[in-house]
Amino acid sequence: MEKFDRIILGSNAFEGVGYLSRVQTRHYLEFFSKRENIIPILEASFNLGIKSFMCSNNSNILSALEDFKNSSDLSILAVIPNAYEYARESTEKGVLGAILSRAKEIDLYRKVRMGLRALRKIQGIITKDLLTLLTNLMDFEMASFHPYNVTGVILHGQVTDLALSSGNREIFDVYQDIVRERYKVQPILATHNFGTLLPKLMEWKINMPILASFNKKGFIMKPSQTECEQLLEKTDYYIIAKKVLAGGRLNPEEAFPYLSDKNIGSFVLGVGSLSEAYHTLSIAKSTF
Amino acid sequence: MLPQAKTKVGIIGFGKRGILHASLVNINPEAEWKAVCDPDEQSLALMKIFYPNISFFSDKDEMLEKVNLNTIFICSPDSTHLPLVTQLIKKDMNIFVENPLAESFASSKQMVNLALDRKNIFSVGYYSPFKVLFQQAKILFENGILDKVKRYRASLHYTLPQSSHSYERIIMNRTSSFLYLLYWLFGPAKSLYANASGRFTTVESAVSLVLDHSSGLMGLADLSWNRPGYPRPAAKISLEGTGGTLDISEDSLKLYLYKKRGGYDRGWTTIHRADLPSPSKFYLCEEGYYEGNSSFLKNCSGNKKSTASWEDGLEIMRMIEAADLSIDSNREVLLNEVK
Repeated sequence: MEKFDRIILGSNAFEGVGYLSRVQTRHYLEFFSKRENIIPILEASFNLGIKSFMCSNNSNILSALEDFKNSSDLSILAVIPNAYEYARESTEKGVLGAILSRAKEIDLYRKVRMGLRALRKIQGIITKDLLTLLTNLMDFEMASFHPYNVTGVILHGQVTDLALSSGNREIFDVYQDIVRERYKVQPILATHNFGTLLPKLMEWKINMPILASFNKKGFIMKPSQTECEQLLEKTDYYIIAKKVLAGGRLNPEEAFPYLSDKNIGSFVLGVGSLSEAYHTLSIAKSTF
Repeated sequence: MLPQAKTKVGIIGFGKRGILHASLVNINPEAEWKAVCDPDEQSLALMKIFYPNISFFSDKDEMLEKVNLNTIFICSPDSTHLPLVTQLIKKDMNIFVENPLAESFASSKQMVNLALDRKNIFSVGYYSPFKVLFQQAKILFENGILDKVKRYRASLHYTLPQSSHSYERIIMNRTSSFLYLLYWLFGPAKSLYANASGRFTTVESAVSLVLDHSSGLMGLADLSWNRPGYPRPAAKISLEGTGGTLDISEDSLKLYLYKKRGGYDRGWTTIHRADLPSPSKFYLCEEGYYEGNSSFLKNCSGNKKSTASWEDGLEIMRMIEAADLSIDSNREVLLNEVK
């Protein structure tokens, strides 16, 4: 299994996602709607030696990447689908409903432009409908990342958790097969329910890196902080920690000592300003 | 002792909330999601790929006939609630209805009347009571942390997606959820005055409400669903008391006390969502959904009254009806005028 850089720059703030207050969220939406406010943070992070960037195909981020002079030297961890965008587009059908509507829309496009040649090997052993549907969706989502060096594809937490609650292991099988066979990179699962997902994956004998919340406050560590910590201690799965600052409630000096001796392979850190980038990322570099 | 039989669940309506409830039931060891019904056959065909072991129906009668169910989640459009309930209640079902209770006060009242004297569990999908910050705010308020509270200001801001196909449902849904939060925190209103740029069910709307609660508390609420910069609904309530102030939102509580009280120091105290332990065992979309869903299912097993009952749902519809009447007549409306 491929290992990732120890520190990965996150993009929640660039996508207008914040947990401290709706005022902060609104500020992020406005501030990072201009790519010239994203680029200096990418530069600062790159200059501090952080060469991995986790992001969705958000148009502001893609636009910033286009103009960032070192973007080809970045290792991109692509988050699919762009759930926040879907959620904003369609509140009535929900994220999954919106994804499915999109699937219907792109079906014809797929028939003309895309084939399943690369997937012949796995086609015989899984449900064809599921394979076709997920291939459509993933191709659509991945198209924007074509110019970049994508080293991992992360299934968005909302989708992972919906798939988890369906109890249908085929979804996970198909997902990892498509990412490995079609894009030739490492599939990763994001989740808000680490304590439920990991035992299920172990039962199914599916091994993929997991991106999950780990922080001193137990913020969005489900079913509980203790259960997540116990599983983390014993697992040989590659774990990437997110929400390490507990949604911005902790500063790096408070947050990092809790994480430094944990069985965590990589840490995703999101920042909302240039000064925060220098502060948080420098401390992270010296701690992890 | 024999193990208790699992609650057998059917879902009617497989949009956002239907998928959400199906997922939450599916991970609950005390319940079993057996079937789903939705008239959109194309969507069902797609969804069946994800849930190969579930029975899918486009006709509810067929579902009810073929599958042994004792609990139904109604997640279909508001106007379908009353006809569905009229049919389901005769079949001795526990029924969870997504908010609002129905499309009108009159329909809601009929639903409540149909449920009278029945022993089943009837609940409506309001999730505020399951959010830890709102729970903490209610405890602080009821324990008198602010001493005498005379008034509050509340706001709900939201950017309605341009591509939305169902404005009415979104507006009703968001408005009724917010009114439920005010009702749950501060009790019923005895009168209200409402003013709006449009009506509740039109697209270009903002509504201002003055609420006079039975407790003597006065509230000013501003609801707007066309403000840019709020991709998620932003609810805020500011309480003013003789002992201090309390700002309540979904992200934090900000308490300011004029002197030390109830274990809190004089001055500012901020409680963030991450500061409070969450009882939720599973997180899907938003805090509160899992708890609301599992609380209802637990009540079905133990025949206990639900947190948000249909009677509560009826009171919210009464407030919406009163607001509509007030907008039309440009006068204060007593809640007991709505009958």
